[in-house]
Amino acid sequence: MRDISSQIYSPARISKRRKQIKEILSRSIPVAVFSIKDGIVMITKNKRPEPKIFTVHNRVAVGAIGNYEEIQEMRTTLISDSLVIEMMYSPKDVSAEVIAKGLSSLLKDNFYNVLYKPFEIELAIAQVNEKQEEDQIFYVSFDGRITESRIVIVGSEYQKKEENNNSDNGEKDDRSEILKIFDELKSQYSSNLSSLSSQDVLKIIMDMMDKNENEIAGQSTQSAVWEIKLLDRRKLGENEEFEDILTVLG
Amino acid sequence: MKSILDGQHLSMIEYLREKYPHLSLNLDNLAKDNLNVLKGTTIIAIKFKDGVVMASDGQATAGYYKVFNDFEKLKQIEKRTIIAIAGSAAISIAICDSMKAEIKKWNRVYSTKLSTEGKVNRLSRILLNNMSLTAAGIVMMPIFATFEIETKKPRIFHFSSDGSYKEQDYCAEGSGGPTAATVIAEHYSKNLNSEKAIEISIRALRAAHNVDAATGENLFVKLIDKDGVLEFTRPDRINKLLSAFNFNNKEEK
Repeated sequence: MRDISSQIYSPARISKRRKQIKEILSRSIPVAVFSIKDGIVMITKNKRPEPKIFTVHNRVAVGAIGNYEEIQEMRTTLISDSLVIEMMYSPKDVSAEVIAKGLSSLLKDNFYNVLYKPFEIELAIAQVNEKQEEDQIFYVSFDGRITESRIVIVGSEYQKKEENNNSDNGEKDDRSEILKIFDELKSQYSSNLSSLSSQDVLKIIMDMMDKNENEIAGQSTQSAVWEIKLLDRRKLGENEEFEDILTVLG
Repeated sequence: MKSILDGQHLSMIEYLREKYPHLSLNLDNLAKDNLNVLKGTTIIAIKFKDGVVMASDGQATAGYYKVFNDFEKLKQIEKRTIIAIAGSAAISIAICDSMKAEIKKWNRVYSTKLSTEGKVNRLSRILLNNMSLTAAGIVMMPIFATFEIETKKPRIFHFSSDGSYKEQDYCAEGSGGPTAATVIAEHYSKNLNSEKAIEISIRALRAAHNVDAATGENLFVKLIDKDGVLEFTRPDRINKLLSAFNFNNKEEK
């Protein structure tokens, strides 16, 4: 049910909003999500103790960028609502697709209604299944656009303005470093990454980190910590309902 | 002023009622007098050295009619927690589902485990809120059993239908409960091992089946220990257990 206020639309306000949110998102560190033999790998760098990558339901996890407070609020909402679906229907009916579509309409409504505050977040929603071909990864943008693909890098399309590059040097280094690594991952993904085990992938990522650190020559700051997690395909089974299958890698 | 719990929606029942009223249970308009609802009967929990054995019969009745012969009354709601249900089946399953969702939600949102006392108090409050249905005859009498991994202790809580509860070493509930409890009391001792506890529970259920019309022949046995829940629900394994303890009808004759 949609009330009349959601019909209010102002093109000028919307385009201003779009610009502002892109500016905010361009400051946060991207999340890479891709499916491999052992499960789904989710990588990012985090400046705060609250996780940017978290379990939503038995097989579904989310990686988010943007406003931290909104990410944490969204996390609670997603967990509650997927449990509502589980109670009303069954645990099998909670899928990444259902969550992504619900989320898309929520984000879209808040973005296009000028009376509401839009969400300053973007998410990747991943669901691991018994077979690698059945894995689902959805990318939901701040205005509710959904795309599905085998490898998703949330937030890579927003370029930071070069004018104020001296003001926050540490953040910029983290971001450009991780973007370089993610570009490399993306180019390697279709050729060899998808069939590798988690340990091999971790090794490749470590190598890339070392290489990049040499190039920047120790300039990168220690403020942000790597957050590398795996939605473990090997842990699926009888106990998946009661055990967290999102494990920390490395 | 807003309260700190406003945005948290800890109770799944309240969350449903507020956000999704069309999905929440509405039992107000039921004709409460002549309900012949599905009811389950005898359930048992026995503590042993490093865990809990839980057992139930498999019969569900509506009035004098046996509806199901293999209806399981042991609901796993967490890795090491089981609620055994006696009484009205529908309301019990709904309450178990809601407890399961609440515990999962707490664990995921706050990244800490909800304490045993927290779960027990919550179940007690749900039962107390359900008093109007209890008065109309739609009763739930659960046994809550868990293995606390932090203290490495098994714990059993015996509930009455109004939500009051007490921690016990063993208990039995349902229409065959008193008979079963007598048998357990006869054989129970501290420092039982798991085989002995399973044997006592089967003995007690057989005794309840002998004297109580609403207790069925099929048995379900589950064991909770530090590794989680071990099921003996498949018929072949139950039969193996029965023959191991010389409880098969044929052998007795």
